[in-house]
Amino acid sequence: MKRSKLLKLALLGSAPLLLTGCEEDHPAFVYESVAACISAKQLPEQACRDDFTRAQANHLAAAPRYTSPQDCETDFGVGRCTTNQESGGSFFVPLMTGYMIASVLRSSGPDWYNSQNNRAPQPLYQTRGSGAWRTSGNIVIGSNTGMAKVPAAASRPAARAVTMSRAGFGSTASARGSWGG
Amino acid sequence: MKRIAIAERADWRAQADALGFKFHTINGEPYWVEDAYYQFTLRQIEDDIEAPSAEIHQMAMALVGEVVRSEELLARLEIPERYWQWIAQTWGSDDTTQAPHLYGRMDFAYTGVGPAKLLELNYDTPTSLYEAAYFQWLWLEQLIARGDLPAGSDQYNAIQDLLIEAFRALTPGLTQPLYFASVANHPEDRGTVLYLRDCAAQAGISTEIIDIEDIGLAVGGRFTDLQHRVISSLFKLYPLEFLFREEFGPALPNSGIQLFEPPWKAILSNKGALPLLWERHPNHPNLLEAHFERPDAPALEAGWVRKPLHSREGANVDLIMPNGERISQDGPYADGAFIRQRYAPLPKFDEWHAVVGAWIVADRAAGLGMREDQNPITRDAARFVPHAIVD
Repeated sequence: MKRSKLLKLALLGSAPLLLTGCEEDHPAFVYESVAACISAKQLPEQACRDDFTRAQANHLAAAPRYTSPQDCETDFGVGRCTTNQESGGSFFVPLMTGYMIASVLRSSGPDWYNSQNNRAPQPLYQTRGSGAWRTSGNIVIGSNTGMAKVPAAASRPAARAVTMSRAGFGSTASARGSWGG
Repeated sequence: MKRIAIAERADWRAQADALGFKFHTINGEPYWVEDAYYQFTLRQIEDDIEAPSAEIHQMAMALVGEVVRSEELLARLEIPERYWQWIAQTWGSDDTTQAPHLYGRMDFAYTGVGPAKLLELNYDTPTSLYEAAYFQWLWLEQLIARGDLPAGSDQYNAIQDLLIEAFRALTPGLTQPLYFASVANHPEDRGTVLYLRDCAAQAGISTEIIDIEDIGLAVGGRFTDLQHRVISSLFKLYPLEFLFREEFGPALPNSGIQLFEPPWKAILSNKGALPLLWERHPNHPNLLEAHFERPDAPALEAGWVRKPLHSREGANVDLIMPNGERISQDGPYADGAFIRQRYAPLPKFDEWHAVVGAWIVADRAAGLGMREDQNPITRDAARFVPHAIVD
């Protein structure tokens, strides 16, 4: 047979399929602080400390960015945002109120966290009035601390950067009209 | 190869609307047409389309390996010099390490008898993908199920399966999410992009959608989305040669972005690839004689076609048929170099000139989509008509 046996659409159809099985969860640990991580005794103490430092190092680059403090506080609560300077100007980000240590692999052995290379630490945030943790990519990963399962997309921090300008692509299409192939 | 009239499915428009095929009718004119289909024999498909397209793909890839190492050839293709090093890097140090690519389409003039002749490569931004890969497949399945085509009917179409496989093969080296960009307010392009994103999602990749105009450039030279998240992986249904010449273009090589299609595709989305292929494989049965047009070239002779290096949708193509009749298609691409290619007539069925679109996914010959136009130069108005293999 020269054609596919069975085709489906995942998102385009009127009844999108749930993509279970494709987005396999990664094992992870969630804590509000180094002290909480150490006292939980689920991870080696050194991992608790090292990964907090690594998550914190990601925080400013990855956190949701706001140009006004009011907008940030609307989302994250009064007094829960900080101001920061970058060469492009100042911006506001929510406080990092926790951190997550996810496995970089979907299926990992029982002691995956003993190797730093297997661990992807990242900052976590809590929106106003909610105890649920969110990643910098705005993926909700639940309200609990300790052991967790997180979607693959949440296992890595989002990288952010200060946008200087837009509309630097697309001008030829508007000037020339049709161009497809 | 025949064009055979057949009854439409009564509910095909409702199905199209429900399945994301919003551009089945464009500006009131039918684009998807199913009151006829093109019928092929298996031998025609396998010997005359599948095998030659697989071979030409290998020839095209070998050509890229040669061009990335030749400043003279890169200049002949009018690729801006500032991108040469980047293009060469994305190809890699030998011919087996190139940045991955997803797909391309070759257009052939094929009459059903004798060799198919390559008209051009659409290797950067090919469209008509959803209708070839999915809706055409659905048409055949339903016509067989309803008894309107014999049970043994088939179709040359593994496009979607191979696309999902190609996306799955990307995942180890891919920074997710993979962004899918097309120009704003263009439903046909958006439809193609949403379909590719669907395939990526079925391969387990997390995806985002963005208008090409909304892409931002950040401090430090990274590209960003509207939430200032860094775009690390981008599928862009937008010509590389446009990106190269636009305001943000110079930021591309150092932005850390992984592009689909990758930068080295600029060599194959360029009509200059046609004379280069001819020079390397003269008299190949599936190639048409082609040459770069010299500035002092005489007027176009009968039986030749003149095309700009960067034309799309048949724009700025001049055709002088063997009887001397001249057909010209206006367009916005008259500002660069041209090639000349020997004229190969498209077969005509009633008033329709039919062109064969042979799909390549990753590096495999994958399927077929037929388009037809009343004009001998296939334009963006060309209609999509399904095909079946009936022996």
